[in-house]
Amino acid sequence: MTCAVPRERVHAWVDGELSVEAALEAESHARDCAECAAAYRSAVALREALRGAGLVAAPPESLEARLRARLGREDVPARRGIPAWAAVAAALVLGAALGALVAPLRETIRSRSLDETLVEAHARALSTGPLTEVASSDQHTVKPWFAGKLDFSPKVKDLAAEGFPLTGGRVDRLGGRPAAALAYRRSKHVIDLFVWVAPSPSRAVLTSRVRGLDVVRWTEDDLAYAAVSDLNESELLAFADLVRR
Amino acid sequence: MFPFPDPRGNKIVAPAVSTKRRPRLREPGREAEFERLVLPLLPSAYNLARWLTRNDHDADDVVQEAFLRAYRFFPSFRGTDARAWVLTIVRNACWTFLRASRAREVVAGFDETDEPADAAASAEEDLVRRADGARLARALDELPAEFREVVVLRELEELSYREIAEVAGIPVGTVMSRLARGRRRLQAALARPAAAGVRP
Repeated sequence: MTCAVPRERVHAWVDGELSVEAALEAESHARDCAECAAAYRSAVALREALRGAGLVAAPPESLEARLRARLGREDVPARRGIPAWAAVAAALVLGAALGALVAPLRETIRSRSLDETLVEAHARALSTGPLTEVASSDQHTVKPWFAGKLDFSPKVKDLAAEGFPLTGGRVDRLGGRPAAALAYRRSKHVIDLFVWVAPSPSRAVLTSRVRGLDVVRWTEDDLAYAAVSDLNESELLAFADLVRR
Repeated sequence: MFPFPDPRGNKIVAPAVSTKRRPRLREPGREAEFERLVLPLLPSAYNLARWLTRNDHDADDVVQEAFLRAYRFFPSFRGTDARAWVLTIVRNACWTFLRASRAREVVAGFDETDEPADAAASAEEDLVRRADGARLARALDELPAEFREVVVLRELEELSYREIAEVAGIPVGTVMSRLARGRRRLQAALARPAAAGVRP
């Protein structure tokens, strides 16, 4: 005899992750269902055993001091980007301006937010990671890795000979849509090359600068490409040319 | 000496225009915030790293690297949950380390479908309750890393499913199923006769 309640549900109950109604329902069900009641009791027994066994690993006493010493040698983090009040002020001004201006500006604003999205995705990959889910300098390893993860196949080129070695790739999201992100290096700089399905083809190569980072965008074969980096603009354009070639 | 000045004792001197573009722009409030929000998370970070790397020395290294990274990128942290943010960095640093030393362990042995069947629950419950610390530690150590991380985050760090999903970069549904399966494996391992728990 098997109870139809999925085992995950019992664990969510043990973990206090059910709504009040669902928890009450689970409780009344477990009064009649020996299986669920037993599963509940063993999960609780396991939790109590794990928590009572002193399994939390404490850092060595010296770790904090060693870490502080290393942080002391670091450059103090400089805040990049725009302070919040300035962003609010800019939004207000922009809102007022939009009342007066029309269509031509709209295109600029839309691409502005795309550039912002690209820069944020790049910054997120650098800070919390992962920058690469598949770490390889081999284009024949990186390109097939995307198969089955995306409904398109990005162009993957190793440009090591030209001074931009490929370091790997990951699947990222841009405004809720999946995108391929390829990571390249130029000495100590990281270049992210985002590739996604282009909503509309455009021949032009567009450049912009957001929060001190350069963005170079273009489309090719129904795919949109964007290179993002803290590299200087001319080197990033050179990189874009190599990718497009 | 750690460079963070006492925020209250620090007078903000209007910066000269020429300092504007220097990389060492000092922002005492931000540094004090790092000290207040991030450094106290060192024990949580170490615990996660120790269970993921299964080695004191590696955990020490990984945590230092992760905190240096957190320090560098703290200016871009705008969320409210510093704990999830730091644990995400630590967790990803651990996985990078584990993948680099793949020969030693990791993904091998991880099979989403290989589940022990339910045993006689009440007998098992007794065995779980009777297991000592060393036995529990070994069972947890032997769990594949994908299960181990959700169990550690839930049972030892007491994170919610949503927080675990954020830290481990997986959907909440996957958190649920890994947790259920991880616990199932632990229970089965603890219910095995003691000698069988020791791997050759």
